[in-house]
Amino acid sequence: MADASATTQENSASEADTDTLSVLVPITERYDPVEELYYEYKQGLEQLARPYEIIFVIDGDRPDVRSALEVLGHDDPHLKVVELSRAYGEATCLNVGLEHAKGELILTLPGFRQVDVRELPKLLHALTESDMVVACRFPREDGFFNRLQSRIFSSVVNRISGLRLEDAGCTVRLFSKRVIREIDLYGDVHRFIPLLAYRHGFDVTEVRVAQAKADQTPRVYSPGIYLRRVLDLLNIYFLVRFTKKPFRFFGFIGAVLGIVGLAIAGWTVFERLFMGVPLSDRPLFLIGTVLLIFGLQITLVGLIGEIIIFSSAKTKKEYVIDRIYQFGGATDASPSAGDASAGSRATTGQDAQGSKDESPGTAGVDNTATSDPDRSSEQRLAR
Amino acid sequence: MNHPHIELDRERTSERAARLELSLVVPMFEEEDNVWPLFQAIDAALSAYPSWEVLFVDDGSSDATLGRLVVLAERYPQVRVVALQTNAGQTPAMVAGIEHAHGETIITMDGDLQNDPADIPAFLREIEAGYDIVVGYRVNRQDKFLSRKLPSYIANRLIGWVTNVPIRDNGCSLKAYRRSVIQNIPLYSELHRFIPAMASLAGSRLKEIPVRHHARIHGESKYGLSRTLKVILDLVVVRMLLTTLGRPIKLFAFLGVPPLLLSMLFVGMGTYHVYASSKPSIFFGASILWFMFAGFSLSVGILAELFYSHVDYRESQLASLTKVYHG
Repeated sequence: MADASATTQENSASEADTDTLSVLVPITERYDPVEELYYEYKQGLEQLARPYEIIFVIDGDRPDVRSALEVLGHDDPHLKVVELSRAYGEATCLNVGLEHAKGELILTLPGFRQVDVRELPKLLHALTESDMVVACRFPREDGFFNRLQSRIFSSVVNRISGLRLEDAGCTVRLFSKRVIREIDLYGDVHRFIPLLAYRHGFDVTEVRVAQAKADQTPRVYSPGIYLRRVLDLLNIYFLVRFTKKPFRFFGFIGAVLGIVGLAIAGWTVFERLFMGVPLSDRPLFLIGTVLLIFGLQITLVGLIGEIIIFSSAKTKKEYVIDRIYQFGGATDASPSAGDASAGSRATTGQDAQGSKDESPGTAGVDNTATSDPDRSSEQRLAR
Repeated sequence: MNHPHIELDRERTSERAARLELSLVVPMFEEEDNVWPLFQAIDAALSAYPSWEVLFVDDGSSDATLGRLVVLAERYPQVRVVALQTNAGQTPAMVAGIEHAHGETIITMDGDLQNDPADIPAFLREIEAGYDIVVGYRVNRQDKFLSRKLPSYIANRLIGWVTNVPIRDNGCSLKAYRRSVIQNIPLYSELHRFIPAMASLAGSRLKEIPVRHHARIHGESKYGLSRTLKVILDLVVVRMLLTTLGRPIKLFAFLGVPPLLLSMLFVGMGTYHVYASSKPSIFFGASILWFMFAGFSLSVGILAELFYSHVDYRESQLASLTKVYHG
């Protein structure tokens, strides 16, 4: 294990920093007054008894939030404020926040009070057994309509992912940085981080945490917001099921439509030829043609999708390597430990044919997942 | 096996140990009972060869497969284990193994003992004889006729016909590749079934040899009849990729020709109808629709052209790459 941890330090900051818990608080459309939020979160974090930093990411121009945070930041070295030049959405906020986070452990908290922060230690406890811990508001003390929305959203997400989450809408999540590196965060997919992590093979646990008082007020959003949620779900459904094989999706739909269209149009032509039913004024023939062409178009779109995948196939990995076990070879003083250009190929190059002066029990455990040298810092913690 | 080495990082690793002659890549998914017998058979088959390694890729098994593989790796220096974090599927598992293999020749096989490692030397001989890809075909398969053999016979004929690479047995995992060839073939999703077809892009020389086939002893078979539709859809994709690699716009423009002809036909029919009966006709509508589709197809072709401009393994480049090695 010695050389594995040595390579780890090549890429990350000093040891003290990696121990820090980095807390990301994106301030987007919905947020509570930040002073109250700050003091409450701070109080919750102090009781964890470990170094922490709070990073507020302000999505776009919100002068009131900025000035309030500036005042607070004067006497708190733990507080970092990042302001985006315009509103990019929550996923970008998280991405930017991650870039500024110095810790290896990340906790995301919403910009509004959702859970009782006094229960945060529960999350940290649970993390020893899994890669990601998400909070679940329990018991729910808010009204029927809030709970109904939550339930519907969670059950759809569960149906898509195969994950069992009681509360998919809670954005209090604790995970190590390596989890998030595997996932592309963009657009509105931040809502589905647990789902994506699960699909990438990480263990996701849910921990019941008391709901915050402020979260119990009834919420009704505008129809546009609900429409966006539905589109998000469709997007994630496609992402999960067909990212690597778009043609299985489009090709199937296209084939069904095309066959139905062909059958309809063929039937009308058949009637014209053998039963003397005139064709030139039958709308049914046109409907068949439209369906057939629609099916063909969807098929072509699927082919384009495959071409896109094919042209990026070499850069995108479909697998995540947990570990590489190789024994008996020389595992010390890897010649390429700091040599970024050598990548994983050279690091794993200590192969079976290497010198055998090591005792047979020493493990050369190599955690490099891909040829990306940054990945060499990824470690499965606490096995 | 002295091929001119052109890769830079290859020289780096060869300082310490010469490149291995052979890497076996074996994806394992829930094969706990097969680990030990499989390695014994491999070890026996390769005892005459000085430099080889086995890469077992554990594809996120939930049983004792990984534990047993690690024990094996502790005991034998030739064994390496790549443990995937989650079940990624057979092709990704194979790609993971291939990318970490050090051998000049890479042989892939199933982890379920249906392939016999005793066939490996025959594959090596063919590679040494100058072939780039050697694929096995199973003689007297030990499977049920109706549910396994018949569908696979039809599938093989279909695949051969569509891809123009007629191979008797695409389902046989026992295959040998020259390193330079396999590492340049784009593999993803479930394309492992079409590796020979994809490799034909590179102008590789291919050879088929018979292999033994055993009935499954341990564990459950992971294949079934239900995948026919998926195979057909994948096949369309492979055919499309094979045809479009040179100039995709050609294919899509070509696909636009029949709709254009249909469109013209309907204009003719509509005109005739209007003259004959002096009533409006739906044929003009159909004509417009087909004309639009022809335009759509052409646009898709232009888009495809755009995406391919980023691809670095076009037909010509692949071909030139193999020529470096045995020109």
